[in-house]
Formats: sequence, C-alpha cells, structure tokens
Amino acid sequence: MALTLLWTVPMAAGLAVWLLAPRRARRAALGLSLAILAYAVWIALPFSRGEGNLRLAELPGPLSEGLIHYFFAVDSLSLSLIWLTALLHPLCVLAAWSEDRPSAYWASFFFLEGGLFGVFTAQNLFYFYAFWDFVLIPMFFIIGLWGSENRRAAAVKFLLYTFLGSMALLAGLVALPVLHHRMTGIWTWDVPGLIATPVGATPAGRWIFAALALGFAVKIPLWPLHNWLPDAHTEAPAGGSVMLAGVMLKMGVYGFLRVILPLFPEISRAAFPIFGALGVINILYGALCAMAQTDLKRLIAFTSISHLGFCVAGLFTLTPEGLTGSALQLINHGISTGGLFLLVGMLYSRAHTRRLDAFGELAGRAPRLAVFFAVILLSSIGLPGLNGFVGELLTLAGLARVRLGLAALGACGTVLAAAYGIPTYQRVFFGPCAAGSVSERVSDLDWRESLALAVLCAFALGLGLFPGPLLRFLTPAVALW
Amino acid sequence: MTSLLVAPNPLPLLAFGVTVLAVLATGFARRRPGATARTIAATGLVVAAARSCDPGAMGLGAGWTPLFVAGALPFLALLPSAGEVAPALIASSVLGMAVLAWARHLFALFLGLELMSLPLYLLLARQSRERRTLEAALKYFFSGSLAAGLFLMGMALLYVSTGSFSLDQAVPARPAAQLALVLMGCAPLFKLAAFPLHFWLPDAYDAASPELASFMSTSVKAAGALMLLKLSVALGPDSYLTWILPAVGAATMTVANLLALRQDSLHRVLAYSSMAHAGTLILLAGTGGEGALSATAVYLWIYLFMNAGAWLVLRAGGLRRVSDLRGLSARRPILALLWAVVILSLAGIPPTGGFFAKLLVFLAALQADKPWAAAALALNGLLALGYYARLVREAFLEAAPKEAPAAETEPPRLVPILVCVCALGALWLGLWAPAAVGVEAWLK
Repeated sequence: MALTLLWTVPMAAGLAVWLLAPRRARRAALGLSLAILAYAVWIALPFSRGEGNLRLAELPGPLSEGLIHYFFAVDSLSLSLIWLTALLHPLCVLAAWSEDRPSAYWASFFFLEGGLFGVFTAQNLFYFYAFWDFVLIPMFFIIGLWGSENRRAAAVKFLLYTFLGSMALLAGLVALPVLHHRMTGIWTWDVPGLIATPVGATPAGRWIFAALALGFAVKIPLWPLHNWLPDAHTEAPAGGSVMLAGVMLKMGVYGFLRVILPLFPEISRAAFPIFGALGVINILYGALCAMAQTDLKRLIAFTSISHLGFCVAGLFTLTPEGLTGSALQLINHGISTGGLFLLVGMLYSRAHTRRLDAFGELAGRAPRLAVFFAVILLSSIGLPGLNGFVGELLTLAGLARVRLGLAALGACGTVLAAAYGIPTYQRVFFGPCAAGSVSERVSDLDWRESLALAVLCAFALGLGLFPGPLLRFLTPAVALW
Repeated sequence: MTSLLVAPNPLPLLAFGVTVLAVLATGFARRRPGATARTIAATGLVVAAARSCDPGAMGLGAGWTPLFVAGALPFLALLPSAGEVAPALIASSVLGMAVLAWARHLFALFLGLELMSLPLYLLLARQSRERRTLEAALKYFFSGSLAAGLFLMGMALLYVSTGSFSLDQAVPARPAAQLALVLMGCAPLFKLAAFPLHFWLPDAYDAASPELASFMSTSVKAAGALMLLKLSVALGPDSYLTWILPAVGAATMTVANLLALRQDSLHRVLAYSSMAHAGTLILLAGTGGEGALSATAVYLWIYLFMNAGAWLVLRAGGLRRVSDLRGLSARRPILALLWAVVILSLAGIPPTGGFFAKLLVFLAALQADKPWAAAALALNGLLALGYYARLVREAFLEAAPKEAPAAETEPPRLVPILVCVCALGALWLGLWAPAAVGVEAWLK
C-alpha cells in the first residue's frame, strides 16, 4: 500500500493542482510537493528493520503467479532516486515561481513525478515499461508548451527519438519472458524471478540484451544516440530541464542497474569493452562539445552527457568501486546538473537570452548568484570536497582496475571539465560587459531562488565531505560484482 | 481447433433477422418513420447481441456480435431523425455480420459477407451527391465485388478438391485446397484493407461521414478479422498462412503508416491509421492458436473505443483537415484532452488500452517464434507515433488561427457524451484489462 500511494498520490495531486486557479496553484504545488517529499522520506523508516535487499515489497501473492503482476518494491538504489526526484520537485517550484499557466505546468510535474516513482519502484517489467513510456507524455507537454522558440520541433524530436528506444526496449522486454518460459516452464515478468535467467546463455539472449541496452542507452543518452538531448534541454523550460537532466536521464542508468546487469551478468561482463569504450567516448565527446558551445543551456546539456559517461563506464566494470561510484554519481549528477539548470533558468528569466557572450560582470551585480553558481559548477566539474568528485573518482578507480588505459582517457574528462567550466564562469561573472548589455538587467536572487540553491549547495557540500553513509546505503543494492 | 466452431444457439440470430424485418416494417408508419426505425433498430440489435453473448468464451461465433453492435451504435444514434432508409441498411449490415459469426458452412459465410457489404455500398453512396462520394462508393463496390468473386472461386475450388462446403472439416494439405482458402482469404483481406488490396480505403473513408467511417473501421473490420480467423482455423496451424498472414500484416501496417505521415485530411490520416491497425490484426491472426483468437477479441474491443472516439471527436469539432486541429486546446479544452487520450491510445502509449493491445501482439508474435514480426511491430510503433504526435502537436502546441474553422452545423448533443464514453473506455481498458486478463493462459 505504501508504494501504491507513492505513485498514486502525485498523480492525484497533479489532477488537483490542474483544477486550481493559477493564483493558488503555485502554493498548492509547493505544499503538495513538500508533502510528497516528506512521504518519500517517511516510507524509508521501516527500511532499516527489514531483511534482504528488496525490503519494502508489495506482493499480492507468490512471486511467479503470472506475467502481469502488481509487484512493487524499493531497495536503497530506488529510494535514493525517489528522494532525488522528490527533492528536485519542490526546488523547481521555488526557483521557477513565475512560470505562466502555473496550474497545468505544475500538474505536469506531478504526473511526471508519479511516473518516475513508478519506474523506480516497479519490479514487474510490465509496470516498469508502462511507467517508462508514460513519463514521456508530461515531458512532451512541458517542453512543447512552456519551452522557448523552437519548443514544438524539440518536443516532437524528444518524443520520437526516445520512443525509438522505447520500442527496442519493449521488444526486448516481451521476448524475455517468452524465452524464459520456453526454457524453464515458468511465466514471470518479475525482475527477482528473472535474475540470471538461462536466456542469457542463448544466442537469442544476446539479441534481447542488445535491444534492452539500446532502449536504455537512448535515455542516458549514450553516444551516438545523444542527438535528442541538446535540443530538448535547450528548448525546455528551466524546471523541465532540471527534471529531464536530474532524474529522467537516470532512468537509463537505472535500467542498466536494475534489469540488464542482474539478468544478464555473463553478457554484461563480456560487453565491457564496448560499454567501457562508449562510456569513455561519452565523457570526452560531451566535454569537447561543451567547450564549443555558445549557448549556456546547450553547454550544460553536453556536460550532462559527459558526466553520465562516467556512470556507464563505471557500472560495466562490475567492480565494487565502479558500481557504487556509478550509483553515487547518479545522485550527484542530479544535484549538480539540476542546480546548474536552475541557475541558467534564473539567468534566462532575467536576461531572456542564453548566449554566453551576452553576459559579463555579473559577480558585482548579483553576488549571491555568483556564489551559488561557483559552488554548483565546481561540484559539477568534480572539485574535491564537493559531491561530483567522489563519484567520478570511484568510477575511474573501478575502470582502472579493469582497463588502465580507459581510466586514463576518462580522467582526461575531468581536466576537460575544468577547461570548459572555469572559462565559462570567468566569462559570465568577470568578463567584460558592454554598456547596455543584457547583464544590466540581471538582478540578484530573491529569497525563494536562494533557498532552492542553498539546499542544493548544502547537499553538494554534505555529500562531498561525508559520502560514506550514502555509499554504504547504496552498496547492497548494486552489489552485482 | 475445429471445436471452436461449435454450433451456437440459433435463436439470437433469429432476433437479428426479426429486428431487420421490424425496421423495414416502420416504412409503413405514418409519423416520423425515421426516428421509430432508429429506435427499433438500436433496441433490437442490443437485445439480440445481449442474448447471444457468452461470457467467458468469445470463441469464433456468436460471442462476437456485441462487438459488431457496439460499433454500429454511435452511427445509429447519430442518424438524422427524418425519414431515412439508413436504419434498415445498418441493421441488415449487422445482420450480415451476425450471419458471419454463426456461419459454419461456406455458403452461410458468403451470404453473411454479402449481406454485410451491400448495405455499406449504399450507405456510402448516400452520403452526398458529390462526384467524389459516388466515385468512392463505386470503387468500394467494385473492389468488394471482386473480393466476393474471388471468394466464390475459392469455394468452387474447395468443393472440387474436398467435395464439401463445410468449414468444420480440416482442409487437406492438397495444393488445390490450400489455394482455395487463400482465394477465399482475399475477401476478408479486402474488408480489412490489407496491402495491396487497400486502394479503395482512403477515398471511401474520406467521403464518409465520421460516424459511417467509425462503423466501417470498427464493426466491419471486426467482421473481417473474424472471417479471417475462421478461415485460418480451417486451414490448420501448419499451413503456409502462418507465414503469409504475418508478412501481409507487416506489409500492410508499414505501407499504411508511411502513407499516413503525409496526409492533410484528418479522414485520410485516420483511414490509414485503421489500415495500420488492421495490419496488426492480420499479423496477429497469422500467429495462430487459441491465443490469437482471445488476443484479437481483446484488441478489437480496445480498438473499438479508441477508434470510434477519434472519429467522433472529428464529428464533435467539425474537423476535416489536420490544420483544423490548431488551437483546439484553447477553443475546446476538454475535447482536446479526450482527443489526446484516444490518439495516444491509438499510438499505443501507456496507460491507455492501445498499449495493452500492442503488447498482446508483441507477445503473440514472439510466442509464435516470429522475431521479425516483432521487429516490424516495433518499427511501425515508431512510424505511427510520427503522425499521431503530429495530431497531438497540432491540437495542443500550435497557436490558434485567427478565425476558428467554421463548423457547418452544430453536432447533436449526444456526440460529446459518446466521445467521453469512448475516451474513458479506452483509458479504463488500459488500466483494468492488463490486471484482469491472464495473458499467459493464452500463450499455449
């Protein structure tokens, strides 16, 4: 029941906010999203008392009762992602307080949140896929209705491109129980029932692996399937970008961790050269593209590609360091990239441009903005002491244990991150500024925006200095080595 | 497998016949014959369908008639109440479908096919006096007659090779008998507008009113699917239909989805959409086994709601061209929302019924060991979203034009209610059916 409420309450909240008058919708959205955050924390309370890894399970009957079977459960990985989602949502509301048509806008966020909770808790692959596809709809409308100039084309591109991945995923997910039944005589679509399925050893298993990997890779996105991301991010409104980068991209990595690695351990081990290389390509390619951007949001979109490369490379090493680092990087990336998109959204709402060279001398005009931007940017770059560093270090350590050369290449990504991050900061906050430029319109942050960013900075610092508790918490869920 | 063709109770079939006679008799009524005929037709059909339904097992017989009647009801309900012969035509067409459902003999099958089709040609031709309407009706008539001719030829060939007209006996694996069934199979494939027998479809649907198009794409397609299933059951599980049908189905949906991408008329987009769904049904019929029967039935019920819903939105909004959709979300927000539900359902996006229907076909294709069919389904899911996304985009994301498209006449008040029923039905089936239906039981 607790988990059913977890995804139904946001849906109901979405309907309620939708029907409210615009004036009340913002406050209601803030209040309800905070309540959902509290609930998400509260459901973790019995967690410490349970046994095993999947602890808060909702099982209406024996495990392999049927194919489509209402089975939801959480482990520490899902819980961490649920917390991240529930945390980013109220921060979006705070930071984008003046978005127009707020009833429908914030309602979409609640539908999105409910769908994401469903993805992170579903243990039956039917429900997993249903929620996986469902989240496309609210995001399509968020981009298409509240985005900037090219929003319509970007929304359709986002929908079609990610649906390409969905279709591959669906084919793989349907083939899985059919073959599993043929080999074992058991009809099941439950992840625990399919762990290390004999299908993995057959030639068809390799095709299923490929289809699933394609589906998840589009979401992450893994080079060369990343094309949809820069456009979607550039055109999406600030809150939409935060949820897209902060949580929706994680669905891909979550899929690898939840479905592919446990179900196909042998093929995953064998596929390390491919995915390790793709991950490193992601790191370097994303960073190099980011260096070439003149649009702030596009730049951050490419850094996002770069950072998620660490996750992919790390998890396919199947080493303790790589897997825990990769899981930790998921959370860290949500905090730092979510924060960066919030910051750029604030800049855009003041200056109505995202062009890098339009800004300058902001440090004097908006000191609070400058401080928060510095902390979040450094956390994204991976400065020791802030959260980004821990995840990257661990994934690189894992990579180094398996293939030292790849780790060395991946480490170049952190250097490149400094190479695009620091000059960007310098240009925007200390660069020259012509008279009459948009920079003069940029006022400092109000208390709502400061509060949202302060929370994120606190997490960045806290997880950077004391990553131990979260690491220990995540480890049992990703112990796949 | 032939046990699926057990003789159903003939009484409900009589009820269909009596309904048609009663509707014809209203021609003698003095006052408002049209309204009376409409009421009698609707009541009679519903009662007859209710009598013939057999909860738990649709099989391949009488259990299908509620589906046919449900598809015809919006059309009947929206007929103008002036004196018309349309109620009689609709009732006879549904009677033809009922005969198809009861048929265990090839002559009965042929009778049902023709009884179903002839009123349709007339209904289409009566839509307007425009040239293109008559052209479409004539095209429909000629292609339908060709299909009937092929069916008769197949019947004759089968009789020559087996000496029987019964569907109950297994057809021998002799080439002549198999060819006979392929020839007969052309008739339902025409009705389903399978590639390459689809050329009549866009014109006919474009000339038809939304209600008629809805009837043609739900009830008539369901009858076509039933006929196809009966023939494929008669042919047995090892026949070469098991690879012809999936191939035809895959080709049909690919061609339909590609053609739908570049249409400007909403009627044509939905026509190709229904052709694509028919292609999926043909593929499903080709996977064979009892699972295919149950899955086809569930698919058709879900399809009934989403497809009728889409056509009725066109009726409710007076929409003709894709560009008419612009600004719909601002003009009629609730209608736009229901439109989004039925379109996303047709596209197969969860949590709508269309998703569950699509999932069933995936399962059936993979269970029948046809991974290429699953690949074709996946590709077509993506292609189809290409135009469905356009329909949603036009309705929600594009700014409203300066002047709203002039609605010719105010649609009857019943239309919005029917749209609601269809959209909510499509949504409800998506939420309820997956949990209620034990899918694995079909996948023997």
